Amino acid sequence: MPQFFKNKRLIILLSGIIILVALIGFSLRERDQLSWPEQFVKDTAGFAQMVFAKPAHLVSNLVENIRDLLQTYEENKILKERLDEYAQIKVKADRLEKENAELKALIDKEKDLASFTIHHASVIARDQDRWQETLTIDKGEVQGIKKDMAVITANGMIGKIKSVGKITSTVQLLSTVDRTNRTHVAIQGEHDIYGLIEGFDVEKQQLIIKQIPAEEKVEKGMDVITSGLANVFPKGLYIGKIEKVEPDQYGLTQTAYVKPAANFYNLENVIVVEREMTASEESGE
Amino acid sequence: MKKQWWIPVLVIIFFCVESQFVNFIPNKLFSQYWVIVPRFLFLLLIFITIYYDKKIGLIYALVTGLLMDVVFIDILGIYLFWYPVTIFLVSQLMKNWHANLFIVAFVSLLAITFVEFGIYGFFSILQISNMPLKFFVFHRLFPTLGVNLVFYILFSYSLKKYFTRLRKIKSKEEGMFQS
Repeated sequence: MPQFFKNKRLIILLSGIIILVALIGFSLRERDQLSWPEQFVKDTAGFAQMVFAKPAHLVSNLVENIRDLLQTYEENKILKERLDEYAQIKVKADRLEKENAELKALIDKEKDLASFTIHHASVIARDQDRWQETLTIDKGEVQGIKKDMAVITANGMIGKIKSVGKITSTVQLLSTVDRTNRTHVAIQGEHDIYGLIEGFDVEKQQLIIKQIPAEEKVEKGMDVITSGLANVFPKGLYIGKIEKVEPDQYGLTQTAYVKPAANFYNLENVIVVEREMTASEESGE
Repeated sequence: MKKQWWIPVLVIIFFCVESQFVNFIPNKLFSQYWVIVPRFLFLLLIFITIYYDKKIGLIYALVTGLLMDVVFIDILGIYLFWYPVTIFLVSQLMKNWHANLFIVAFVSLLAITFVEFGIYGFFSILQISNMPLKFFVFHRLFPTLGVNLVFYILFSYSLKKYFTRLRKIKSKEEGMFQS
């Protein structure tokens, strides 16, 4: 026995393993907030990454600009065709917006599930091992970012805020495979069909919506938006189009595959969305 | 400025470059069905261990492992475990082998494979990943090894030169203290 304790290496190894397991256990439980050492390290690392992100963005912009220039002619042709269409839609949207505002004023309702305020942020880093698919952005608690806010780009929703530091925060992309990464969505058919995004198919690069009732008619090409009912995201953030629908094992429900509208790569600027009102507030009215 | 002060600077630079690399390069050059993981920092750690000093390599592995866990993963103890363990194994392996660049390349690729499999195992157990093994090997491991090999070919010579020179300076200094 005394010899066992004299073996310094073994003791260090064993205590190391114990500390390791404790650390994993500590960090795996659901946490509302990061501990302050973690926040400090994240912010410091974020600061260093910002220094590197600026030139990277510059170079990337340059490349993009050159590519844009080369494609200008073809794009212009397409855009001209679209322009007429656009004018019509704009007039219609203006009219509808006004009508909507009037109707809302009529029933004394200023905010609804779809209203939100936005914060602009730029991406300063991405996790390199890509198991969790997270981004680091350069806005944090000080700028009013909170946990679970939705994050979008011009094309559609990309994820939500996972944790917040003082001047940086971490975004979890929709493509992360995680039990807690669920988004309540509405599929826009004749009426809204509700479902839950439950993960990401890495082989197809598509989001999976499970548990859609079998009698609902979901077809390829339908749009998927956030439902706004889960108290987390505002209503109507665009996610993508249905690519494929298949019945599940027992035929009671169906599973839909959604092709995300936003590109999850080469992200530079993102928009953090803060909803102004929660579903419980609305039902309380 | 003393030469060994460049080591932490190099570590910080590699750490930041990795996260920029992942955001900008892979999608523009490669298929989006590939997951390419830059392990440049890890390669640097291997170079420190083999050509400079085992202990310092191990300490850097611990620190950067913790840093990666805190900054990117939010689960402490994953890189904190696999980086030092792999670096330790590498140092044990290199005891008997001559450290020329071909053998180090082989050892580096082996180490990266080991780390990738280790982390894949951890995440599979913790149910954070549901990637099938075949997909992991063909779409993640092989592209990763390829990109890191290219990086190795580009930078190994200068890194080796730098660290061997550092070691010479260090052994000279130690010799001075002893005499």
